[in-house]
Amino acid sequence: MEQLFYKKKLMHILFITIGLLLLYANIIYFVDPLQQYRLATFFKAVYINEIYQNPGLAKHYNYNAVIIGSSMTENFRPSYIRKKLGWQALKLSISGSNSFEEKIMLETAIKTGRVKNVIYGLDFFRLAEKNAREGFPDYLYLHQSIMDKLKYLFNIGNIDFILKTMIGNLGLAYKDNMDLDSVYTFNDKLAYSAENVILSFNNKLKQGEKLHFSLAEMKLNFNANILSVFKNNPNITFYLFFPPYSVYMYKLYEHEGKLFNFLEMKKYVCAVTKNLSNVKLYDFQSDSMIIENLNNYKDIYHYSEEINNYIIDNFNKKKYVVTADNQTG
Amino acid sequence: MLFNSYVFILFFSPVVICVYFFLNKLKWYRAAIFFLFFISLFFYGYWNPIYLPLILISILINYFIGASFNHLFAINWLNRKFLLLVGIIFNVALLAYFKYSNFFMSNLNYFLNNNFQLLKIILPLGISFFTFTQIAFLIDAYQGRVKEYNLINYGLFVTFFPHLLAGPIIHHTEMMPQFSDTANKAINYKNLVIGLMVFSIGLFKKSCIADTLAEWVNNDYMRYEYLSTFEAWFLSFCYTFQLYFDFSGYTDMAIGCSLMLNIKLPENFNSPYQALNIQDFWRRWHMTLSRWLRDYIYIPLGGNRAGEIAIHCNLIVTFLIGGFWHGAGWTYVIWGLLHGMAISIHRLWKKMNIQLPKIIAWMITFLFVNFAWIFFRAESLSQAFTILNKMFQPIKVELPSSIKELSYTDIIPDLMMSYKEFFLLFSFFMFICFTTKNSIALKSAYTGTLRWNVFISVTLVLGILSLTRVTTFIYFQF
Repeated sequence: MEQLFYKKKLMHILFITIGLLLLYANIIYFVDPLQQYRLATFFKAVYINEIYQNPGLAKHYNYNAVIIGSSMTENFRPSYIRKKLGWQALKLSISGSNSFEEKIMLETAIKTGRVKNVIYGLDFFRLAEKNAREGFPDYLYLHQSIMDKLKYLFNIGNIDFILKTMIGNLGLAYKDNMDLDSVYTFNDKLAYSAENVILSFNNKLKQGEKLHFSLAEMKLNFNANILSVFKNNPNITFYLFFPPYSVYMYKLYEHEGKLFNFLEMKKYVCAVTKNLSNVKLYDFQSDSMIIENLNNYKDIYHYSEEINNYIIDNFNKKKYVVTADNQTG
Repeated sequence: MLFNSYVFILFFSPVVICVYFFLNKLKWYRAAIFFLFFISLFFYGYWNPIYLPLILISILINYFIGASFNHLFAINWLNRKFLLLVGIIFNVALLAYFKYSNFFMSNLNYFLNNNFQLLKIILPLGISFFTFTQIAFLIDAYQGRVKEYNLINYGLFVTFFPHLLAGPIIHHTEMMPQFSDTANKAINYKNLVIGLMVFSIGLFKKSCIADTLAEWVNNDYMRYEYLSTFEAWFLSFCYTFQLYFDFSGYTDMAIGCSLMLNIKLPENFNSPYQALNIQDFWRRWHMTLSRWLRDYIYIPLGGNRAGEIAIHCNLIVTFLIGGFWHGAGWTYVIWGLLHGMAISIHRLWKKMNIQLPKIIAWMITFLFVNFAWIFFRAESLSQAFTILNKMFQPIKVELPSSIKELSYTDIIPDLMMSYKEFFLLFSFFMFICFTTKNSIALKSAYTGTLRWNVFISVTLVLGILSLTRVTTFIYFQF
């Protein structure tokens, strides 16, 4: 008797559990807050998290150019690129990205066959890191297995995205997060001034910049995650550029003994890309007009939108192009 | 393999339950035991099979020593005591090599100004637990309390997957009779339901509560130099609850999935933060470890029959060993020392026979435990002292400049839960911890009404939906 009673209860529990799980997964599939299956249909998407929302955009948005890189590329505006270069660009920047994350981001876009041009901001900060950061949701990116799909559909974190999407669509908040042209820019929010740059320099001087610039590892990861993509996609043009950090960054790196490896790595990149006809390399780091004007910066690294626009303006000019002749390192 | 993983919940445990009871239904009892042993090894080696040989060798050697105490082999020329000593040294040496060698070497480097190259050792999973389990077995066998003549049975006792990685620390005598009892070999739906309930609660504690708190704690430990007074206090409470929900959740999952196989594991947590004194705390927190330390360290040292001063020394030594067992670092030693001293002070206090009001007694106990956990969590002594320092710094209104910088270049505020939201969540977790019945009490409270079944299903579903988390990336510098 007792066994029969508990057997029935067990069936109830399993039935409710499976029912709830299926209900949840169906809601997620239908709403699709991360646009993994289709672009947002009956609502406007609210963009609050690049790492989670970029892959869906890369899979379904209409574009022919993408922007790849860290926050140094977040201030690019697709509308400006369209005006100057005529491209339909999609910004796929990831704040704090390393080269492995950039690789899977870029390959997710390339797989759609839509990419003709790539704007690629090349940083060395995280180049020595081999893998994606812990917790990086690679299940949303390339080569999704069934398990990967389940991780999206059965994920409670989607509720947060749905709530924020609702708040945005009701017009209660997130106004700036619904326009793909301005989203993730940090332009109006933050102060650009020499004072802030020096403040940030002094703080870093005190704390030390906890980054690794091991040359061997940087070269290894550059080859594996960046150069390989260039070589595998000869029909795509890559506009690769060295972002113009403020002059104080060089001061800090010199003080910490990182500058040598930094410059060596630049030389290496120049050398290995110079014979690739689909890669155009630009160096904005040696222009003292930019990097010494501290009012362009909000800390030792981050420059304002004007600089991003200036970079776009110069893609079709010769001034910053690195060629075999003008390499100085 | 971990309990809180898709592969365990969706694949491993259903298959193990079905196959185990199917083999038993055919009356292939030996095959069922062998299957459990084999599947436990699979569980152990799932991520990294490299340490399978290690655990197998350890089992083999302990089995032969244990069996020889029971005259399985005629080794009369060997003194039994000597053999026991060899066995214990073997277990301790294995643990020392894999867990503590780098700690000893870096200390030697520090004190002697040497420069020994540290070893590249990956800590074998669960080595602390299976070492203690097997030492207990050797001593029990030596004293004639245990007889085990079968290698596979012994292997299953050590590796049985529910307790293998993080306890409870079990005794041979409480486990093996359950495996041989034929009444336990048929499927038992009551145990399945109750086991599933306890497992679901554990999963919920671990993946919904502990992991949420962990994100906050890890974030604040990363920027520990910049904490305000309030933040430092809040951080210490968060970790105190994280650890409880994490460890007791894990134990619940272990007890739950073991119960589904009709094997009752000993209880390990009994609402420890409701303890009214530190001795009471240790009767409620990681109970099987306390039991082990009492039986195999404290009592052999003389126990309560020793002289008064010796008792105090023994208490402190026992807790020092207990602390060091938790991890190879000075922070764990200090943590153990603090608890040893607290127990010793409590013993003196009891002699004075002064009754404190309950609320005061609870507060002293809880705050002490809370302070001690700071050492347990901190990566270094200096980090622990910095955080303690922050807790007692004068309250400042203005943020230090470095935090200002951190907040506007490193973190996208939208992604972080605000303090207000998190505080609400934290209060809810605390409410659970102090007011609801614990999983021991819930086991006997189940009545089978729809409300109970929905409760079990919802905790299980929430636990499963939280297995993959949306991670907040704190290191947003570039």
